[in-house]
Amino acid sequence: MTGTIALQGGGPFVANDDLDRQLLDAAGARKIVMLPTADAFEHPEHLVAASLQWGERLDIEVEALMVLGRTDALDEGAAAVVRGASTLYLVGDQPLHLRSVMKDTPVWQAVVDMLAGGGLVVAAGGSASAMCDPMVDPRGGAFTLGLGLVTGLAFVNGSETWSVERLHRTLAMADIPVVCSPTGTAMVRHDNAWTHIGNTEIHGTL
Amino acid sequence: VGTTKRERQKANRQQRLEQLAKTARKEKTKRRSLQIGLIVVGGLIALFVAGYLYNKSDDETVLPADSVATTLDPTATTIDPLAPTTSAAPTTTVDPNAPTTTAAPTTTIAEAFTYGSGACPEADGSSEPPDTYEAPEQCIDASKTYTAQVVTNKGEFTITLDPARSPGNVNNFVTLARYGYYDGTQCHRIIKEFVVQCGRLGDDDAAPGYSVADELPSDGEYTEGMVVIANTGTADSGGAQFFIITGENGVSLPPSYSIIGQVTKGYNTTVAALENLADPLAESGTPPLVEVDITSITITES
Repeated sequence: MTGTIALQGGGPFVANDDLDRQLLDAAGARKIVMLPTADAFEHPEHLVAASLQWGERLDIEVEALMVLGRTDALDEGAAAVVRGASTLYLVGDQPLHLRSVMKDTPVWQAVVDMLAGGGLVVAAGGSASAMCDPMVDPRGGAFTLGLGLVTGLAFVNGSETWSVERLHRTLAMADIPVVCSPTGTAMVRHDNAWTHIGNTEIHGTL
Repeated sequence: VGTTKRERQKANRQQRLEQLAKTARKEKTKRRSLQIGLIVVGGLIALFVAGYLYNKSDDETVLPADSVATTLDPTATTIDPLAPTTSAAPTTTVDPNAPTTTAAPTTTIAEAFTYGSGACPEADGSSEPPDTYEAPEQCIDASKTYTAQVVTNKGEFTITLDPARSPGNVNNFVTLARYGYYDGTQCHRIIKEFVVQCGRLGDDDAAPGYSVADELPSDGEYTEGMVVIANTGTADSGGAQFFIITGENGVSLPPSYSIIGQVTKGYNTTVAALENLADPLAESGTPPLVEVDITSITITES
């Protein structure tokens, strides 16, 4: 993987403007493709609207790619759009759905290829959790199989909303490092090194 | 099951729903009082914290007592623009190609399941439902064949259960069905090409009051028409609710749900009709366009 991947704790297009600016500047990006897949059943149009406002604030062109179900993810045309992008935003808060839609599809392969080709992939909220393998089921904190774009760590997004009990339960089950990332924080991997932005907590040794 | 028993079950169900509503009302009142209290306490805490922070410039991270958290050194990164926003500590380089450690579930063998102590109902469905449900003892013979005839207000379908694969979860489903637990519950969540989820009592996601251990498949075992046990996203948290996988989006779910069987009759008719009741505007598929009630689930053993 030679590209950059950013896992944001939450608040896509709302809570991460400074970081987004820095990431986009570093990547030289003037346009992004956003996939609101993980919110397919939770009014993805809200994320599209937020992304357009964000694009105006940051002077970035936004293309919303409505990959909401597996039929969309199996579409070669959608995969071509992803493959042709230099910056992707995967947003929405249902990691299980994102995993279900993307697993073993041309669109997901395009994401992998695009990152390998030096692109920038930003995932926020539950979508960030789904990038990892294992991923964390946000409902109860159990681990399950994720998409595996990131391995060797699990990502708890929106950790400020987690009860101490749930977090303890998750940490007790973990046999790998767990990163707890509140909204407004992030982990960024570039050149095989991780950087944390804000008060992320890393349980275990990366 | 005789008419009198059905009426008694209906009355019991009504009583349970009223009790749930009453509890919910009490909880709401309690929460409101608590919120007022919290606002007052929160104000005092805010004053205290503001005073504290005034004298302290460093960030501080609060961790659970038994955990150790570390942060990474922003200066180690080669992305210079990011450096100013980071905060503190040592650095680590990670090999992204390192082997993954996953919590990959494996199929559980029958002997591993720990049953409860709740009494078994009569196989003919004549037993009165208990006042409080408990995780059942072993009530089925995993070498036998069990089918469940599910009657809804929108048609019927048949599930052929798979006790060899998930003896504990099938045992639980059969036990609840024989007690008439599912009669009057709803299929409250329907999403096209994904799931039809049933077995919820009113709005109560915690029912039946206990949970059942997972008997998880391997990745890639889900197929259309399979019936699996819903859970709360933590280990061993299945209960009464189940869902039917109705399309590709369900087939590729991670293997976090115990499989109890397969719809073998009525999939292309009743289940398809139920799927068409999905409300595309409903949040996470709840509720469907019209109410879907389970009238009864009858278990046949052979």
